[in-house]
Amino acid sequence: MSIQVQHITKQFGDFAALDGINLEIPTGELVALLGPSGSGKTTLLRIIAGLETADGGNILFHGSDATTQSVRERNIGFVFQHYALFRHMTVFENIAFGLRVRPRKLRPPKQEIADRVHELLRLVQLEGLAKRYPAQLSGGQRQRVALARALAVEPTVLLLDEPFGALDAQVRVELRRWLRRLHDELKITGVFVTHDQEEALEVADRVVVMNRGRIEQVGTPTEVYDQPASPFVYNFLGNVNLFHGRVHDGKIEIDSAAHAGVTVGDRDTAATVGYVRAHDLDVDRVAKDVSSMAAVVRHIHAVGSSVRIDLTLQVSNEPAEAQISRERHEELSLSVGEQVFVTPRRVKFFGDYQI
Amino acid sequence: MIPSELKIDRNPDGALLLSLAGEWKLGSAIPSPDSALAGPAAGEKAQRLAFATDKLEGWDSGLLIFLAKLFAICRRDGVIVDQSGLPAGVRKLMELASPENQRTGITHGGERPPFLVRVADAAFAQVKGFKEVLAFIGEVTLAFFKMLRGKADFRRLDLIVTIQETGAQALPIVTLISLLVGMILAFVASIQLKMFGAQIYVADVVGIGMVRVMGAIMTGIIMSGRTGAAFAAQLGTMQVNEEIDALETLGLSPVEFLVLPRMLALMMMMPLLCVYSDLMGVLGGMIVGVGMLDIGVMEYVQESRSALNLTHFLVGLFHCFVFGVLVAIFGCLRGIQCERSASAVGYAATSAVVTGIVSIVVATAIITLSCQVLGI
Repeated sequence: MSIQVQHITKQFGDFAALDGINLEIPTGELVALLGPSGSGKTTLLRIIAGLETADGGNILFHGSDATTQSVRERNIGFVFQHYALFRHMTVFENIAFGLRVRPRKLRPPKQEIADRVHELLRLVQLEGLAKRYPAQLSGGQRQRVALARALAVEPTVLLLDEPFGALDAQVRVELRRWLRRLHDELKITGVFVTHDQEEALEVADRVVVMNRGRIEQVGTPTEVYDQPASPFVYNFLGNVNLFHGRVHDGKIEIDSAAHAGVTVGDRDTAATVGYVRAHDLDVDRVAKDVSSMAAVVRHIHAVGSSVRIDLTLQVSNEPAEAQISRERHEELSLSVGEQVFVTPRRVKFFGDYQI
Repeated sequence: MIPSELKIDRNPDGALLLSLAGEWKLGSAIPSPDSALAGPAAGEKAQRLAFATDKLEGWDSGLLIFLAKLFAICRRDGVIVDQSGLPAGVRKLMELASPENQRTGITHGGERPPFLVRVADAAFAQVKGFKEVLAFIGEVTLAFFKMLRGKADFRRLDLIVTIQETGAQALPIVTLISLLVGMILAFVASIQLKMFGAQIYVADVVGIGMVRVMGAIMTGIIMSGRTGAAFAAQLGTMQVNEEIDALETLGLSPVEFLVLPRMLALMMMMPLLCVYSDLMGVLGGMIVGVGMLDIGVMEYVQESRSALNLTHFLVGLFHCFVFGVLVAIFGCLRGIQCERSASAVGYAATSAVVTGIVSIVVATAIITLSCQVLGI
């Protein structure tokens, strides 16, 4: 089922939590709402669910207006950040709950409920734990029970509020890959909220980057990472270097190195900021071309799959960060304090706004 | 202690040079910032300010306060301050304290809004609170009628557990309080009645007092503190854990599922507790009457029987039934209104007790007045 969000606004006192949000979520896609805290992503999710009412705008489920429908009528599955399992019920009862409380006419027979619960327990890989209480489970297991409970009522839309936020790093990585596989299996329209860019880029079909109650960019993970629409998106996704420069004679100068062929506006000597990802910055002993900048190595972090090098540009004293492969690092064998040249492979310029 | 000294010179380029010497500490006689800026040649305004601190022996917050005031004046007058002459530690601290480094949106204590604004805010909050109470009562009423038609969703187990918690488990405390209230009533009455030699009427005072109103009020207040607070805490915790939201997403109405069984339990148990409380109160009165006023047991019982009638008893029961509804409604309402933090649960419980007791007293006044007017 597709979801359409049309011009949704929400105020909390003087604070605009959502400022005219328009969004379309196609059937069967898993969409991530990504943003820093206070960007309005959870509020948007709760409005889609019907747990919160918007001040203005409409929510359409499969083309029909659901704005005035209550949560109960929307037939959604909701997974909460802190699981919200019923503590006095076993895992089995928690999952079966949504089915058992249905009016008699709609309620499936007992055997069918039991079958479905066991099917779901298999799906979330918790067979054999049906008789445990939530307090006897680990965080990751609880979250999977919460997911099974949400899926038990066969929702048309699955909404997840920071589903992995309360878990430790390792379980989080494991569980998000599992969620992706589960989604591929079930093909249910899903929306999840996260502030973890890695999680959003890895799990979602489509990422919605939000900031201060507005949508900054919507796109596939590759699109938002490779073609950020705004400085905010650039900053929020991945490690990025900011180089302050000026436009001079139609060329941009950063740290006295010229970047030809790029023009920002038509005003000369306008301030501009170049955005370069850490892994788009080449490090060499000699200057490669006119865009190379002299820098001094400050620190080398050689842990993990790639090597991170902290540098200081020589002319402007701005800090920079480069990420190079281990092979390249061995080839160069840099040491702290050495002078090198950094050359950006890809730069994107935005006007000089403060972020 | 070396006294703090301030020397003011004028550099050749027109800048004012402040040379600090000695100890600049709290308690030492630090010159005022205004005098520092006045300069050697009064009337001539300096455009720049520089420092020399070679002879500074020691410093603490005293120096920082002096500098903060000085810098504030400089900012106001547009004087440029060259801080390079100051010790590095002082520079760092002044940097931290500079207005550019203060986070916005954080109020330090905040200013008190004017009186009328506060009155209006309080009034609006009252109106809003009253509307919420009305809306909640409406929802509960609708749920109640739905239950009468046999369509409300709640688990019978929840009802039974709540009946046990609010009924049988409340007996010990109701016993203690009612017995003591009965005794107190007897003591107070006996002091006056003894003067006329009419001790026997202690039985009338205690009997009518307890059965008609005191038994009900005492039960109501006990239940408000015991059960109302518990309801608010239970539902508040569920609200904090998002369990109430979870119920709604699973297609259940929290009012039907959580509030209805609690209200039903109290509606059934409160009148029963009231009867028990009446009995205990009369027993308390009898202990005092027989033990201290030399009234015979049979005599006391006989006097009580002749004083009491069914009307007194039913009025008492009606009181308690109303209190049961009030305690349940306010307990559950405060729980559902609970915000999403742990401290909010405590606040919800406190608020449930306060609202419960206030509503009980108000309801008593209304019922008593109505009975007077109707002649019951």
